[in-house]
Amino acid sequence: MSSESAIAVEGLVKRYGRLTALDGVSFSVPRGSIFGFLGPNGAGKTTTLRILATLLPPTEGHAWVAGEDVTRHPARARSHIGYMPDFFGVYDDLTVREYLEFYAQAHGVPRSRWRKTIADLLELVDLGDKRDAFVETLSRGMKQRLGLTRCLVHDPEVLLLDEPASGLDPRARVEMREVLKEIARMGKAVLISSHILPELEDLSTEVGIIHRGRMVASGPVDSILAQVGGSRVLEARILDKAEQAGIILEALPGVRDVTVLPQEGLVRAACSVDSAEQADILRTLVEAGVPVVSFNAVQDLEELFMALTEEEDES
Amino acid sequence: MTQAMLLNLAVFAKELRTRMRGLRAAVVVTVYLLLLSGVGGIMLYIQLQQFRSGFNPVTAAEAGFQIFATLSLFQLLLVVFIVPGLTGAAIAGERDRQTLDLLLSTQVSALWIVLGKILASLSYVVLLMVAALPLFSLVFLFGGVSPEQVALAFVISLVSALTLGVIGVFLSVLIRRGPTATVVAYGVTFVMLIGTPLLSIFIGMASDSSTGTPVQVSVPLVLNPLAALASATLGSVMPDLPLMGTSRSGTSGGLVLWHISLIVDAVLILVFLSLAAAMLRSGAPRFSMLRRRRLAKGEQ
Repeated sequence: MSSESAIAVEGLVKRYGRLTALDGVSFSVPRGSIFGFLGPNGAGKTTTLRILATLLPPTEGHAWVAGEDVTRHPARARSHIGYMPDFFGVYDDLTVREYLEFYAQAHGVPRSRWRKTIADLLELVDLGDKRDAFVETLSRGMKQRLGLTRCLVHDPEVLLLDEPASGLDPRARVEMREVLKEIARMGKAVLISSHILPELEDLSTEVGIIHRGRMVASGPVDSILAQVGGSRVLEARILDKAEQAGIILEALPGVRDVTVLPQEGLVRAACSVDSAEQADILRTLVEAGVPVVSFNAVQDLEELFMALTEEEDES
Repeated sequence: MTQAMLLNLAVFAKELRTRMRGLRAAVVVTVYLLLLSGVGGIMLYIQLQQFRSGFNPVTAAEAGFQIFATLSLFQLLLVVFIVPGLTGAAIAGERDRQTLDLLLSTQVSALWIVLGKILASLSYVVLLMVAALPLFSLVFLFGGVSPEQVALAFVISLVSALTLGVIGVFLSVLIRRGPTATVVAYGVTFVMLIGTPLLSIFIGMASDSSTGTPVQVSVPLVLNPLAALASATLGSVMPDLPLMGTSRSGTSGGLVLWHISLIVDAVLILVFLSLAAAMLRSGAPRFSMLRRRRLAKGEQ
C-alpha cells in the first residue's frame, strides 16, 4: 500500500512517559495532492510531522514517505522530504544565495545544478532580487518564502509544512498560498498543518482532522465540509445599535445562538454555510439602519471538533 | 571531490564562511597576537638585560629557550581558553536558533555535522597559531631551540585544542542551551588546568611518602595540557620531576608524560566524538536503547 501514496501513516503512536501525544494515527496522502492537516494546538500535528521528517521516532506504528519507511531508512526518506518546522531560524552572516547553497550542498545536490536551481526557486517565490541580501534583513514573510525555497532545493517529492502561514500578515498569507498552489502544480505532495480551517479550505484537495492525538476525519475537502454540516460563526462589528442588531438577527430564519457584546460593538451568531443567506443577513442589517463596520462568517473549528468527536464517541 | 564528500563538508564550509566573515575574526587574531607579542616582548626585555656585559652564546641559548618556553606555554593557555568559546555553542546554538531540525533533516550524517563543527573550530585555532609563527621565529635569533621543539609544541597545542573541542561539541549536544554548554566546557578546561595539579598534590599528601611513588602522584597530570607541553619541551631541563623528563629509568616503560597525554587525548577524542555523533539524532542514549528494544519486540 505504501508505494502508491506519497505519504502513508499507519497506527502511529507517540508517548512521552504517561502522556500520549498520538494515539493510533493513520492517513495517506496521494501523489500530487495538497493535504490540509487540521487540528487545534496540541492535537498532535507537529508530533506527526516530526515523525514523518525522521526527527522523532514513533513509539508504535509506521510511516512511509515516497515508499521509504522513515524509521528503517531515515536517510533515504529524508532525500524525498522538504520539511518546514512551525518555528525555524536562519543563519546570520549568510546571503540568500549562500544560505540556499548550503542546504543544496547538505542535501547532496550536484554543484553544477546549484546556480540554476536556486535562481529558478527564488523566481518562484518572488525573491529573485534578494539573492545577495543577507538573510537576517528579510521580512518575516520573505523568510517564510525563503524557508519554502530551502525545502525545495533538492527537488523532494513530499513537502511537510508545519503551520506555514502562522504569524504572517494577510498579504504574506495570500502570497504563500499562491506559491503553494504553484508547487502543487509541479506535482509534489504537500502536507500543510494548520489550526485555522479557512486557511486550508480553498487550498487543500484533501483534509485530515486530528483531535487529541486521533484522526477524527479525513478525505476530500467537500465531503468533510458536508459532514460537518451548516454551522458557521457569523461575526458583525458595528458602531452602535448592537441590541437592535441582536433582535433583528434573532428574528431571521437559519440564525441561532445570538450573542451581543455591546461594549466591543460585536454581534455573534451561528448560521448556515450558504453564502446567499449570509448576504441576505447583511442586507437586512444594513437596511434596518445598523452601522455595520465589518461582517464575516468563519467556520467554527471548535464546533467542528465537537461535532466530529461526538460522532466518534457515539460510534 | 566526490559528491558524498562534498555533501559531508557542507557544515564545515558554512562554519568557516560565517566564522571568518565580518570584523570578529580579525579582531580575535589581532588581540591574540597583541597578547602573545606582549608576553614575548617582556621576556625579550628581561633576557636582553643579561647581555649588557657582552654576548655569550651559552647565555643566548638559555635566553632563547626561556623565551620559547614562555611563548609556547602562553599560547597553549590562550588556545585552551578560546576553544570552549568556539565549540560550546556549536550544536546548542543551532538548537537555540531553531536551525538544528533543518540541519538534521539534510543528508549530512550526524558524525559529519559534529566533525564539521569541530574542524571549523580547529581551523580557527590553526589560523591563530600560523599567525603567531613569525613571533616564534624570534627565538631562533638566540638559538637553544630546535625547529623540532617548536613543531612539537605546536602539535601538542593542536591536540589539546582538538581534545577540548571534541569535549565542547559533545557538551553542546548533551546540554540543551548554548550558554550553559559553554560554561560547562570552560569548567572542564579549568578542571584540566587547575584541578589536575591540585589532585596530584592531594594524592601526594594522602599517600604515605615511603610507599607512594612519584608516578602515581603525576597520574592526573596526563589530562593537563600545560603539563604535557612542559614535559615535551622542558623535559630536558627538568629531569627530576616524575614522568617529566626523558627518563630512561624504566618508569612506565620508557614513556614520558607527554606520550601518555597524547594517547589519552586520542582516546578522549574518539570516545567523545562517537558519543556526540550517536546522541545528536537519538537524544539521550538510554531512551533510544529502550525504544529500540521495545520496537524489536513490537516487530516480532
